[in-house]
Amino acid sequence: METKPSYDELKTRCDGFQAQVIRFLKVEQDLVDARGKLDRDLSRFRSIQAYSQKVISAESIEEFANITIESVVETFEVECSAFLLYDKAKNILTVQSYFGFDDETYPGCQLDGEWISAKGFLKKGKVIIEQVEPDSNPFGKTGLYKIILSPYYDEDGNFHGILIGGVSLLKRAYYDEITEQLIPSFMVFTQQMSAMLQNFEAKRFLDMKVQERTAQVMQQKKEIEKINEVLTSQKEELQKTLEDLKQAEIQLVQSEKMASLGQLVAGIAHEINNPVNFISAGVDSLTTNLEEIKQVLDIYHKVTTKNVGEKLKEVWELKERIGYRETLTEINKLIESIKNGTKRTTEIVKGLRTFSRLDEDILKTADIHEGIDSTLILLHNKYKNRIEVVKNYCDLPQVECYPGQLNQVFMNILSNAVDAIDDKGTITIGTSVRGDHVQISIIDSGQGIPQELRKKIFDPFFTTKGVGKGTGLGLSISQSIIEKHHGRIEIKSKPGEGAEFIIMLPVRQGINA
Amino acid sequence: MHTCKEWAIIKLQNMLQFFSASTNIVNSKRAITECLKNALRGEPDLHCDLIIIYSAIGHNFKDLLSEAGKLSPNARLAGCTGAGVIGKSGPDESIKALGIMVIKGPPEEFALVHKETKMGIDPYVTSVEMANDLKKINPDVNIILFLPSFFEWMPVNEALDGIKSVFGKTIPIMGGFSSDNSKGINCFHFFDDKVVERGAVMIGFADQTIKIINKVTHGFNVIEDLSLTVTKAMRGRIYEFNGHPAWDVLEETLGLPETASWLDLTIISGFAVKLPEELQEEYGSKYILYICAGKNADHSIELPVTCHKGMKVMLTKRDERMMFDGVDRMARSIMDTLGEKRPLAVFQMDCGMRGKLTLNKIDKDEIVNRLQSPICRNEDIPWLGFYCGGEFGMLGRQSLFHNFSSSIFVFYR
Repeated sequence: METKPSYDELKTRCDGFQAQVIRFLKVEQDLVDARGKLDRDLSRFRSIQAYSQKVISAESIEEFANITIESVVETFEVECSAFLLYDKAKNILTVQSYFGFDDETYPGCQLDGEWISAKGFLKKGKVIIEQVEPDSNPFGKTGLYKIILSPYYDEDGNFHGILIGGVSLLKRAYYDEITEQLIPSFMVFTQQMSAMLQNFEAKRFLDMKVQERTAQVMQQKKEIEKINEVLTSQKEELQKTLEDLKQAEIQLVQSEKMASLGQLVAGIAHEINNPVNFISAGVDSLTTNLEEIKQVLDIYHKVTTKNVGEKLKEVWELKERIGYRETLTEINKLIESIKNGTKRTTEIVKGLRTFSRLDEDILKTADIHEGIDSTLILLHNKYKNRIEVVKNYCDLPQVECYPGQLNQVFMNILSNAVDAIDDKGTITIGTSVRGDHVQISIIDSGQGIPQELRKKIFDPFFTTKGVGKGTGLGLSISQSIIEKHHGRIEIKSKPGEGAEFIIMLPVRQGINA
Repeated sequence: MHTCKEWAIIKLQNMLQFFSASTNIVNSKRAITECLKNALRGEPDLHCDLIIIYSAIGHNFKDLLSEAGKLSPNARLAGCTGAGVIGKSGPDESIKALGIMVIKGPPEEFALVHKETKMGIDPYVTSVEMANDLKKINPDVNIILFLPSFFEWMPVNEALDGIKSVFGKTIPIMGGFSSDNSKGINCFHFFDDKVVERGAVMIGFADQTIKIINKVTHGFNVIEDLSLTVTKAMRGRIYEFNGHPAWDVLEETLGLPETASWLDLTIISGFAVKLPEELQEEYGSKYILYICAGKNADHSIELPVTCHKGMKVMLTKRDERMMFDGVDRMARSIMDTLGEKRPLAVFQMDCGMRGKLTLNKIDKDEIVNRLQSPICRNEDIPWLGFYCGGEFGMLGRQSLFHNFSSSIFVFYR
């Protein structure tokens, strides 16, 4: 039989069991604490890793500082943080960024050289934990209770700034005490931050250089664009001016053409008037003569078998009275005269059409001789009866040209030649083939052109004629027209011995004279 | 005539919709902005009707509320501080943890009241007042989220009784004590643009289409050999165990140093009180647990619930394996009820004593994951929880106060 344990035995067992439970609970709690610390360290390590990944994207020192201080708060579960940069020239630390402070109490203070030296930060300093007294400087007014300060250095070991984490007096109870256990991980964080800051500054330096160069290039580009704009503007102005000039030239050429035509109109009118007068007078006389013939025919129509003798006598008497044979001869002469008048008028009109060739301001092949001849027809009234025109034409090929414009050249030169001969004289027109070119020579026996005027003769508005008699553009325009044809115009003259205008024209355009 | 799709949209617009997010960004304005944006990702804008905010103690609460107000001007705001939050991605007990549940829906389907209680209150009387106020705003309230301050609302079972007296015994009450980061110093409540120190917030839901599943578990060993009998008590205060000053008995029994605080005791052990037999199977334990919530100068201690002479309390010991088994059992039970239905939202209340004070991160993450993984089934289910100073969970169709437990309310239709 098993004996029941006594009360004392039971009490002893119970106390032993209770002691075991207590030990177990304590051990378990120690284990929980140890695991908690490991969790915190792991969490900080992860947080530092996350910080490194986050801060690498910072684009400004402000952003870098902001990411850093928020990461300090997150990693170390402190209430507030500040990022201070060291100004070597002024030997002060200034707050670049802060987080978790009231706006009214943030550490906007500068930490002076004395403070920095006292902390030994200029040389390799250590992480410091400080309890802040409310009336102490420089952090007393910030409401901080406890802070952890870590200096950081550049790659050459020069003091660069400090990182602060802290807890305020007001909220200290919510936060874990800042103890020395925090120092190793805070130091790791600061070192990591320092390395990232160096990378950031190197990157920023490079970025700055790139930006500077980009700015230079952009400036140059702007300048070039500005110059380009000026040039474009000038080009546009020049183009406009050119357009204006072309327009003016067209107007002047038209004016000159109209002036030339105006001068010619009187001559042409006279030229046409003469044959028209022949025709008009001839028609009147012919009408009278035909009336007389009609009277004779009327009598013939009245002849019958009964009155044939009587009517033939009337016819004979009438023929005698009107001079029938002379009338018939006169009719023939009048018809011939009308024919001549008509032919002459047709020639003039044809010459005028050939000259003007208004519908032919396009490049085409034309007969040079035809152009010269039509011009002469139009000028005929100016030179007839006093100037002999000698034509020494050779066998010319058809020339590729603007026929209407070439006729204007012939008109100018021949008109000047006619004007140059005061009284009687000769104009000799010669044509010849010179290789790929044709040569037209117009020689007048006029007074000639003095040496000093020969240089000006092709200048616009130069004229030796009286006011209102010439535009001074004839030869200038003629030269332009010949140049447009890739030809050239020359002048040979001696005072008192007449003048010779030589025109060289390529047979085909594209061949230079 | 509306098409089926249009009817579905109209119907959805008349029901509450839930979205959630959490973050540990330390800048308060940026934190709430990120939360709102993440919660409402895919929605046309950040406008919503109610934002429930759980924040750890380190945030600037005014910044949180003002920024939320700017981002969603029509939204009502309510919430409190806790020792950490539990979001879709698990627990976060950092001092800057933040989690939100964003709710869209017609204003007649929820109601809010709050109370400033810093000067001390009678929990029953004040909870009746709050419940009546809530009922006046919306008599159809059928689920309550109650977030009272840890400091003024004990014994909190009386507060729950007060709510039940207004809304009926079976009204589901979820929530728990607001707290700080388990330092036991202070707590704060949020109500629209107000930050209320030591108050209470009561949120009522009145969407009749919502059904709930609530499960609660603790997973602690009860050392039945370390049983103490209350010989003198008044409401939540225990003056004596076994005829001796309560704190002295605990100090001696657990070998605590003289300098130990009530929090030191709570970390080591809690008090277990036997449940009525009919609730034991549902709970998976014979005992409901409470913390020691205070140590007085006269060596009396505070419990968060009403105590009485003759009450037997046993000391407890944490058991991680039992905690895992407890949440697994809870998840299985929830899945059995849910079937193929998708949860609308999940509200979780975990005791701060299941957080970093007692568990390492791996265990803590695992406990939450063992709930989230089966319930969410890889879907984006809105999930908001917080580590509180004691949580409400239902047993026998009534909400009770628990400590050391995980309590989850799954909303579904």
